[in-house]
Amino acid sequence: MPETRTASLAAALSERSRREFYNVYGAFDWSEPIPADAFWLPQGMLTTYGTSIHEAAGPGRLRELSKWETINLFSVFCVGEADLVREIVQRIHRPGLEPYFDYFTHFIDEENKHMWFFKQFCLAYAGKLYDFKKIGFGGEGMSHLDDFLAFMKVALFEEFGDLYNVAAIRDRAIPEPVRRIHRVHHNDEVGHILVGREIAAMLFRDHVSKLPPDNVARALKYLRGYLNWVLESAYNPQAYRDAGFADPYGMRLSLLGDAARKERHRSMAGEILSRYPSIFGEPSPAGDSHVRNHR
Amino acid sequence: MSGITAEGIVRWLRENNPAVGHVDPDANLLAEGIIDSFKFVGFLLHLESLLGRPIEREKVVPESFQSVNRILANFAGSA
Repeated sequence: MPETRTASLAAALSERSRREFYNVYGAFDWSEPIPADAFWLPQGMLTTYGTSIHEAAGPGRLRELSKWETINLFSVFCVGEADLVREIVQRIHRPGLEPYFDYFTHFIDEENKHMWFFKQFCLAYAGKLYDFKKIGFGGEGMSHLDDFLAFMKVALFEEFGDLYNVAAIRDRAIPEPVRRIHRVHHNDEVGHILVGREIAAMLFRDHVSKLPPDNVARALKYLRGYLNWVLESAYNPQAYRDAGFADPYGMRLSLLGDAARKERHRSMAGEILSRYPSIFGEPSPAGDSHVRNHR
Repeated sequence: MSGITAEGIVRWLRENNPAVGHVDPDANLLAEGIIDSFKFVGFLLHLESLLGRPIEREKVVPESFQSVNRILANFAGSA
């Protein structure tokens, strides 16, 4: 079952992890100040961007929002990466996945570091993390697709996080303590994403694509729902409240219903799914939706 | 008094899942797929907005949200 190309990539990235191994506990100086007049996120990554709420908010309020949305993002990363680690730990000794054991141990080590530095950042610069409440409903009735869904969720979550990493790294106006944490995260995630895409494509080709079309369609619908859920995790009423916005719950609903935000979601989802053409199909000419390949 | 009513819950469920028709107040919302784990976060935030405060973490378990009647019993009188 393991594919040479995928296993070779995993081996190469394991070697890279050994070569670039770092002691996370000495990698950051949490006393380094963040200027009060700085944006912590590029404005284009704020959940208000493109809406009348954004236009009406002054620069000071938007700067506050950029701080609290960064804290929200890093809180989401902490919770999400714990889920990813759990998925990998459950599969680390799975027969058939032996060639990836070494890679999985590095993945767990690096995700563990990410959880640590995101949490430390939030505590150092905001004094808290946001709490996320969710419940599992005991399976989605697709247990035969567990491995594929698990690796896809890992990959999609990391793709989502890396959109923010790259945007923050490219924006030189973002304070260095914030850019640095995105840079360190991005450096690890690039490898995880590359292997994640390969493993997901391999599982899809070898197993999922051979299932009845209804099962495949259901799995892909589930993953689109997952990606939408991840995208919506950026809209946190607690962050809106901390940034000083009135009616934070109403603001979330208003933003999620805003045409500009819906378009932004289509664009972000399209960008992420376009990296899985053998699974979600090639992007349509409009560039924001995908058509399944039927082969 | 909270703003959580059976009608309000069903309205939210229909608005967020077009496949939902009549909802028996004792129907299992989770097992019958009326709401899924991804939509649940939005549903929880909707209830919190009606309550005007966050719902305690220890109450966020499947049993609390199993049916419309269970939701009313757990949260409607607790604002």
